[in-house]
Order: sequence, then C-alpha cells, then structure tokens
Amino acid sequence: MLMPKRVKYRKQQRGRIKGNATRGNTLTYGEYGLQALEPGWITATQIEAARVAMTRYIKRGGKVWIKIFPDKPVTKKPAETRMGSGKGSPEFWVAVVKPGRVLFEIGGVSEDVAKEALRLAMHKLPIKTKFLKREELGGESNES
Amino acid sequence: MQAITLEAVKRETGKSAARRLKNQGYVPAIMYGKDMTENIPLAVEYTKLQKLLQKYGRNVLLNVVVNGTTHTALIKEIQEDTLKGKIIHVDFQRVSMYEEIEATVPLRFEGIGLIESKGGIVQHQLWELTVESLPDKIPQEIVVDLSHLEIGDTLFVKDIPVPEGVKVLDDPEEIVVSILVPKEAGEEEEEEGEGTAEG
Repeated sequence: MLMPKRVKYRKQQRGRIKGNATRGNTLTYGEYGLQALEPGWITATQIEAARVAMTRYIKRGGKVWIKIFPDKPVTKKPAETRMGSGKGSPEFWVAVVKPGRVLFEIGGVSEDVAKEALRLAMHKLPIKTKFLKREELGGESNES
Repeated sequence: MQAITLEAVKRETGKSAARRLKNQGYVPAIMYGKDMTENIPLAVEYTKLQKLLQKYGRNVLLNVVVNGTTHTALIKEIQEDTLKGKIIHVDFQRVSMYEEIEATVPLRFEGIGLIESKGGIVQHQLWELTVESLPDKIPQEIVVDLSHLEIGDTLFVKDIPVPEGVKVLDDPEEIVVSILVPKEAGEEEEEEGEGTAEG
C-alpha cells in the first residue's frame, strides 16, 4: 500500500478542507480519468482497492496512473480507552482530496473499457466522482 | 488560414459586473497585444464562443469586432472551471500578420487502433507542440500518424512533420509517444507490491 518512506512528524492535526483543487485538476498522462466532486480523505486501502479493481478489469493492455498520494497520518485511540493520556497512535494514511482533483488516469484502452474500469474504481471510494475524457473544450467531461 | 469573425462588446470591469455578464450568457474577455496602448475589457457570447471552439479549435485566427472596429487576434488563454467544464474568461492577443508568434498546437494521433490490434499500448508524453510561425500559418492541429510504429518504438518531436513556414520550438529529442508492451495484471501487482515493500 502507498505510504511515505519517512516523515518528519509522526502525528498530524486533522485540518479542514476548504475550496476546490487548483492543481492536479486536469488530465495530464492518460486519455481518461476520475475526478473528485466532493472533498474528503481517501485512505491508502481505498486507493489500493480502486487500483486493483481497475488493473484487473483492463487485464493486458492499458496503463493506470494514481495521481494522489496518502501522505497524512491518521491516529486512533484503542477501543475502550478512557479519554485523555495523549493522542492515539498512527493507524493509517490518507490523501486529502479537494473537489476537482483528478484521482486516477487511464490510457491505452478504449473508452468503454476505461469507463467500466473507472466505474469499478469509483465504487471503492468514499466520495462522489465523475468520469473525465480528454477532449476539446465544450465536451470536456461526462458525468456518471 | 481564414479568419473567423467574432463579435464582442466592451464591458465594465469588476466582480459584480462580470457576474452580471455571466448571468446574461456572456463570457468576460480581454484584448491586448501589438500596437495597443491599453487593454480592452470585452465580453463575448458564451454559445457563439463555444461553437467556434468546437468547430475550429483554439488555434484560430479571429477578427474580433468591437463596436465596429476589427482587431485581428488569436486566443492566448482560456480559463476554465475544471469542475463544471465551463469557460470563465478568455484572453485575446492582437497580432500583426507580418510577425511570427508563438503558439501551442494540439496533436491528433492516428493509427492508435492498429497499434492496439498488434497488442501495443500507446503512452503519450506530449499532447501539444509549441510552434512559431506567422499568425495565418498556425495549424489548428498537427496530425501524427502512428500506424508505422512497432512495439518498443518511440516517436520524437523531430519525427513529426509540420507544415511549411512552421517552426517547432520544443526540444527535437523530446519523446512524443512510446509504444509499450502490455503487462499482465498480475505482473503489475507484483511490481507495485515490491515498490511499497521498499517504502
């Protein structure tokens, strides 16, 4: 699963997500992509599940790009623990996603295959997303 | 290249004026460039602009008519709302027909189906080229034929034929497209597993 090799500080504050993505909001590598429509945290497990779903569907052929990286540690207190006595220990990693962010890209496959692969990936994620296609202005996106 | 006529009106500047224009079906725009002492804030009709872009693409020579005065211009930049896919603002650059200018031209790839039927995957590195030419010589798109490529081949910028009078400014050794051998889903998973194990 994706996670940083080394971090300066083990624990982070939660923060809040405001506004839309101003970077990473266009297709750069592939012909098709999945764009976030809501803000949220996407865990490394969810990214992995989406990647596996896509690569299994497209089988031989095609290439998948993951454009987000889970670099934020999330801590949790153990079950049935009384409050206090400090912050819990890091449990998992998440990628902070703003609306507009392109999460995955696919290239080298037909539109139908890309649509279905991204639909499968869509169902592994905790936020609403839409299918993107590289086209000229006016028909940039197809919501699904 | 034949110039396309686009009508525009002068607009007030400011946030609320722009919002009003958008509600009336206009897109705020600006014109600047050659032999102009001051920029002209403009507004163009959204539907007309969208139709023009769909039909001719971004690299089109325009005759922008503002209150009866015609300006020869090119579209320099289009700001879009990436979530809604709508145009927010357009920059027009007034050009001289006798001076070379820089522009980005999209590449259209042909023969991808043939490569895929051979079992190869087309990996794109470049989707557009930066070129320099006279405004009327700028192509709307450059067609790249990939049908002669085999698996493992690479197409460089220097291999792309461009029309006469057009000079490519990109590095000639830059890769445009490479044809890859497809990997099995299992192989890829194993590879990525190794990658995460390292990290």
